[in-house]
Amino acid sequence: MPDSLVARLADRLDIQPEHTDRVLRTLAQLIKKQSARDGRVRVPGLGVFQQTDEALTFEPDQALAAAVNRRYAGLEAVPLTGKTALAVEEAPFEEEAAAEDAFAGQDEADAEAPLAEKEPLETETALAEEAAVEEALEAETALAEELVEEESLDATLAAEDAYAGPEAAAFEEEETLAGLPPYAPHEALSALPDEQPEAAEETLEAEADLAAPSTWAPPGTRWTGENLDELVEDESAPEEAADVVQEETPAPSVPARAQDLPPAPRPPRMAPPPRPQRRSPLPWILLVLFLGVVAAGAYFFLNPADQPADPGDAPVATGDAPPAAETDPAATGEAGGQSGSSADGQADTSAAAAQPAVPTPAEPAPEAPLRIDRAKGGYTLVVASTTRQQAEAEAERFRQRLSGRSIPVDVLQGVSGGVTRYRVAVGQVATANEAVALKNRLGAALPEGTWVTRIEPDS
Amino acid sequence: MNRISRDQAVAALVEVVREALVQGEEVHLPDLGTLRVEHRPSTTATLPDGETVMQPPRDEIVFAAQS
Repeated sequence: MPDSLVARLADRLDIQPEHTDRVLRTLAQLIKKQSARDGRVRVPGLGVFQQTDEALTFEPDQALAAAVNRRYAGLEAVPLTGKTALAVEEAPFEEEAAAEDAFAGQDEADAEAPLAEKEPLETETALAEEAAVEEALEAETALAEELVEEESLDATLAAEDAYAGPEAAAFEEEETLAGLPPYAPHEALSALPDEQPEAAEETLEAEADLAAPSTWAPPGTRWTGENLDELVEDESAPEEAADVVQEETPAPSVPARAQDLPPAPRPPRMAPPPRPQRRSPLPWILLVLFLGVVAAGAYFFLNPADQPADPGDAPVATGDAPPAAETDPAATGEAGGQSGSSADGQADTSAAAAQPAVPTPAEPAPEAPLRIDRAKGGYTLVVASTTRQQAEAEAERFRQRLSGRSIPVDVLQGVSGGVTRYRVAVGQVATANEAVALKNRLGAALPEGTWVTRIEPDS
Repeated sequence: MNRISRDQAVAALVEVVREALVQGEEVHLPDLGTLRVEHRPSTTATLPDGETVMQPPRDEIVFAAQS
C-alpha cells in the first residue's frame, strides 16, 4: 500500500503527497546510510534496522510487536506429554503450573521476559548509536544539504521551494537530526505511552468487570461458592422449571399469572363468557351494570393480591419469585395494553381474553448453554482472546456454530502480565492430547489461531 | 506549507505504520522494504528435556528488504 502510506502520511503531516514521498525517501536514505555505517539504527516506536552482509533486516519494537500480536497476547506454551498432561481426576495443578512456569522462563524469551532484559540493551545501543551518530553528523548533514540543494534547484514549483526552505531550515537548524539523534533513548520512551493506554484501558476494564461481577457470567459453573455467577445459575434453573410447569399445565398457569398482575385477570376471566350471551338480549344499562358487578366481584376476589400498590407489585413479585422474572415483563406489557384499551371500550376485552393464551406456548425458554466446569479442570481450546464484551459476543457466535454438538463454550478469565484476558474457550477434555484431538476433529469450525490451554479453577 | 521537522516526520511515520500493521495491512517503505503481518499457527515442539509442548499462535511482523 505505498500510495496509501504516502497519502496517510501526507494527511498526518498536512503536506502534499509528493513532498511526503520525498520525506519518506530521505528518511529511508538516512536509515540505510546509518545502518550501513554503524551496523544498525533504531527508530523509536518502529524497531531496529540492521545491515547484515546479506541484506537489511528489521526487528520490530516490543510495543509495536505486542500491538500487532494483541490477539494472542499473554499466551503460554502448554505441555502436552508426560507428567504435566494430567488427568482431570488427579489434577495437581500446582505441579503443572510449576512445570509450565519453568518452561515459560526459558521458552517465552520473545514474550514478556525480554521487556526487562532487552530494554537496557536497547538503551545502551541507542546511546552508542547516539555517539556514533554525532561523529557522523557532518557527513549526514552533507547529505541533507545535498537534498536541499536539489530541491532548491528545482525552482519550477513554488510549493517545492516553500517546502525545501523549511525542510532545509529544519535540517540545518537541528544539526543533530542529520544523524538521527532524535532516535535517542528518551525518545524511545515516548513510543511506549502509545501502548500503555491500551494496557491500562484493559486493566481498567478488567477492574470494572470485577467491580460489577453480576454482568460477568460464567453462569454455568457448578463449582459455585466463589463467585456471584452462582446466583445467575440459580435464577436460570428455576426459570426453566417454571417454564416446564407452564408447558405441562397451561390452564393453571393463567390464573397464577393473573394473581400476580391485577389488571390482567379482570378482562380475561370475566369478560369473555358474559358478553356474547348477554349483550344481545339486554340493553346497554344492564350490560354496564353487569360488567360493573362482575368487575367488582373480581376485584374483591383478587383483592388480597391487589392490595399492594401497582408500582410496587412487580418488584415484589420479581424478588420473591425469580422464575417469574422473565414472564412478568411480558405479562405486564399485556396488562398495560389491556388496561389502556379496556378504558376505551368493552369490545377489547374479548380480544384481551384471547391474548393470555398466546404467551404460554411461547414460554419455552432456550436451554441454558453448556458451560465449562472450572472446578473440573482439564484442557480447552481457546479460539479468541479479547475484551470481555467482545468475548461474550464471540462465545455466543461459537455456541451457535457448534450447536447440537454438546460442546461447552465459555469465556475464561485470566491475568497475564498484569492484564486481564478474556478468552473464548471451546470444549473441555481431560488432557492436552485430547484437546489437540478435539481441535483436529472440529477442524474448520474453529479459527486458524485456535490453541490449547489449561482450565484454571479461578479462570 | 507547514514546516516539517525530522522528529515530526518520524513520529508520523511510526504512527501510520503502526496503525496499518495493527489492522493487518502491508506497508511499503520506499527504498527500504515492506512490512507485513504474518500469522504463525500454534505448533508443537520438543524441549531439550524431552517434554513436548504446544506453542501458542502469534502474529509477527515480517520485513522484506527492497532489493
